[in-house]
Amino acid sequence: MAAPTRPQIESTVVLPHYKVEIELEGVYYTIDTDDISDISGDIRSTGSTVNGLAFGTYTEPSGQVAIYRRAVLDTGSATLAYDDTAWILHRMRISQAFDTSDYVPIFVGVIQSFDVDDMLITFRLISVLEYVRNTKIYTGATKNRPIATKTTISSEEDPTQPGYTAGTINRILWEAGGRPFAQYTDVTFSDAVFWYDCEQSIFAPQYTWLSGENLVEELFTLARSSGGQIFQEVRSIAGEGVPVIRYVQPLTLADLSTYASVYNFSADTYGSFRKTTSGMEVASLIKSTFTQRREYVLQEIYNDSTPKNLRAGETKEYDFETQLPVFSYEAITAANFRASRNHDNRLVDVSFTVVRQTATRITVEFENTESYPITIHEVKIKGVPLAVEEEGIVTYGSGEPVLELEDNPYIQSYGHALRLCRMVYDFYSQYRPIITLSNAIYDPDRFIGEIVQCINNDTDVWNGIMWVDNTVYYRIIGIKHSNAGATMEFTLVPIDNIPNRQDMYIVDETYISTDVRLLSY
Amino acid sequence: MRGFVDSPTFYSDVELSATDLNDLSNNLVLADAASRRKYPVHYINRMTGKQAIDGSFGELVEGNWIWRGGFQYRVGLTTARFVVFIDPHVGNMVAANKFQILFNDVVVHEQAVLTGGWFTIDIALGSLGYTDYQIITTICRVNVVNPYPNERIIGEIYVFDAYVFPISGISITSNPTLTNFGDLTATRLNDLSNKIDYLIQRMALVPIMPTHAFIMFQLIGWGIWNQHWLSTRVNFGADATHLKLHCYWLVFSPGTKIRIRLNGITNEYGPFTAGQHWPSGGTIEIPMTDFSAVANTDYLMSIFQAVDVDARGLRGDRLVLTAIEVVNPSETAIVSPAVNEMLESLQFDALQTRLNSYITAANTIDTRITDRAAIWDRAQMFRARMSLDEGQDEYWKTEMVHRMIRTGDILWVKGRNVRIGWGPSSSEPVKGDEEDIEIKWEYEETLTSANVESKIFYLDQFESLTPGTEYFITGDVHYAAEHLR
Repeated sequence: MAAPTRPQIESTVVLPHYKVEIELEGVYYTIDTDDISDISGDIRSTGSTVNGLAFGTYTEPSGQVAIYRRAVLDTGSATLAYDDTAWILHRMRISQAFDTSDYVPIFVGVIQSFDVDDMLITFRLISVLEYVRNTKIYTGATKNRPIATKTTISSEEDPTQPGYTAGTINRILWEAGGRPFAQYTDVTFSDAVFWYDCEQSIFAPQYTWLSGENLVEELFTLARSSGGQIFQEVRSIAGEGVPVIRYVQPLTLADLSTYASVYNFSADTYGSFRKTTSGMEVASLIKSTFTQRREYVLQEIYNDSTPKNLRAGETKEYDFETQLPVFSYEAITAANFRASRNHDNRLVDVSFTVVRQTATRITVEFENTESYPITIHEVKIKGVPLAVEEEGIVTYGSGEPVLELEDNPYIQSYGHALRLCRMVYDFYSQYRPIITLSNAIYDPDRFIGEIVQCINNDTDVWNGIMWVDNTVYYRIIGIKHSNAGATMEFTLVPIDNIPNRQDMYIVDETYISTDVRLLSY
Repeated sequence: MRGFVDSPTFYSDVELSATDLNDLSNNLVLADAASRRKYPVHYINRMTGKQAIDGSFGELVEGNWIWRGGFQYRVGLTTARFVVFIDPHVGNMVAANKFQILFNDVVVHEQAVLTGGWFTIDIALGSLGYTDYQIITTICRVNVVNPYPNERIIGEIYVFDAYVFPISGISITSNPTLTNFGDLTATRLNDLSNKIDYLIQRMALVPIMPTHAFIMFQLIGWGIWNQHWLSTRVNFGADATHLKLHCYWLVFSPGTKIRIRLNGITNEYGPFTAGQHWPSGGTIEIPMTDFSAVANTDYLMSIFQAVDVDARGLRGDRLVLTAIEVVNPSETAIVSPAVNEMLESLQFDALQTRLNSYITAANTIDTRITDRAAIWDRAQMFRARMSLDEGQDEYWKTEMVHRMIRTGDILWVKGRNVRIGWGPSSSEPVKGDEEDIEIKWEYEETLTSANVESKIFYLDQFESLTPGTEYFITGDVHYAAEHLR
């Protein structure tokens, strides 16, 4: 078979047919089509319903698959009922084909919950970010580390490898089981839970560390600190749909430099349109706070005189949490601990192993190698703390309405806050209606983030002006499919006057003396 | 108030940020200003006996010192240097009397006092077991052979200079060599960024010492022809061309002048207007050519008061020297802050010119640091109050207070009951002691307890103590110094 052709896709006679699979122990099993009642899905690149270019708004794809209650899964070795809590967090994959074409994956999600009624079992699917939510990370502090670094075929993404300098978003996604899509082959990363694809962020907070936060929230907080969007999409590799989490930096949201041609939504590709214009999130004055930290000199950053008793031969692990995040530690030796034998108070050097050192926590395993119980009386650790040096507010623009950006721990300097305010101003100060094209034909070639046009899309004019502007480019920010894939709905946002990368000086590109470009934020 | 920020890191395939370039530019402006630091004059005091700072005759008793102060040890410093002049009064001093230097109450150097002359005493620091950032209390004294009052040691010993070096031995980030911008490469941009960070870190290694406020050197009492006021060592570095004496005076004797002897040449400056009722203040600026002085050379400078003796006799003149500086008045800023606008449209050759001007500025600052070794390769020792003993220290507690104009971000202190005060001040009598007064400032902070402690403070934590603010350090201060960062 072959990939679906444009005539197949645009046919009004033959509807697409679908395939739903469920994953069990890394293998996808197909659910009998006759057992499926309905499927639907919704993928968006922004959580904002009024600003299609909003930075770092929380969004997750959602999907729904309803199957008849009679359905069971035949894995070849066993038949399994779906009505089982063991299916929670397992993945489902939805693909569609046209006529005799290959199946095209359109949605991959994680089973978050399911309902059972007298006829159906309805699975609610969410993003693979659910795996991120269940991950905890403690890291050391890094300096001037971009929030995301570009994933390439050779980028080092494994934090255990020497020379690792990947961005914080990359780190979070890796630790949650994601692997770089750019390095996808049949054999690499067979353990991948999902895939990710990051662009290089334009900001790098001065200091970054992770200490057990909710990492999904942290992903979007990072994106809000530097602009850009995080969302999930589905990509196809040899007909297999794989979920890919993407970070897109703000200056490529309107970048056309990689397009040979641009798809046009003409009037016959959809049934109806809706244009929503809102004053919410449109701002003329942007405010942002910042909290600047700095490395203080080497000093005592932890002192604990709580007695810790160890029986003879006993091994115990202790976590020591520091008040301030620590940039670097002085090497820990026996001199950092004062311990004595209980029965004669003789001081002893306690045997220890530093299990891990992170920005906010040191874990040390003590072993009492004496034949007698000992007590550790004091623990003193030195390091270079990161303390708050300055807090302030930065504004850009004038007048009203005012948009106050939420406090963000990654905005750590006056300069960072100023450039973010200016960038938000450029992205938020112009009214950008949300265009919704409904009852569109199912088109698997369209994807979230694609730049498209709407030329000759509607003959309705008012006072000589098209309701849907046909002179500008749009970005697809949402795709819904419903009626078991019979129809689609696209959400678009105009991207005129958005600064973009192709107009700017790029580090390590070659220019001649008469070239003219812009400085970035 | 914005100070230095860590310079940015540039990444390949990323848009060139105007904000990052502004950070480089702003840091260069600040580095330029910081690199024009004045030569740290080491105010001296003489001892022993003969005449103490307040004009009375002093005697060496247990606990007396000639000079006391301190320094901060940093890994990489190799030597503590003292330049000492001994003028023994044979007959009063005996062979058992030794000139001693003590670090943290341990004698690290001892020599006979019966042999006079100039001595450059180098004390190796490497073997003394100090840890990085440790502050060492330092005392120069003559040991007492027989307890007072049996022993009256008369003689003169001056500590003309005291510093630790080499600052260049302290390990910091590397100093990249810059090449002019052809292509816009991440390597060149990061070299420039790292160079600026290096310059800031390099200058931040050298402590900024407080002066002694109110009364630095004061002649109280009757003017005497050719009264020796003070001697100190000065070094004009590579670029400083002028000597500046900041004074105020209340002069009754006509024809009162300041007489300076330097490099074997004596010149007089003045006269000051006599018959005043209120102190006048001013600065005497003296070209180093007056003394045929050459660059990068240590000179002994002696300052005297010269008074014409007329029929009315000598009067109670008051001449107060608050600071000595060596400066280059024609030296101007080398960096003009270029404002890089976000979304600024720029032709590439204009961008190259702008970036190359940053390279020129960074290299100039680097050269200035290297050329002015007397400023940047030594850490002048902290000079504690010039009292001779605990009793005098009490007397001077409100009159010779350590004074800083905040320049840096960090203050290191060591001592007991150390406090800082800033803002408007007032003096109040001490309860139960009508002759003693206590000075209070609008804002005061206690830095150390009644025990000797070493501590670091980040000055931003003190409300309204912004850069450029004058503040005073009181208490039993063993060491106090600012650092840029």
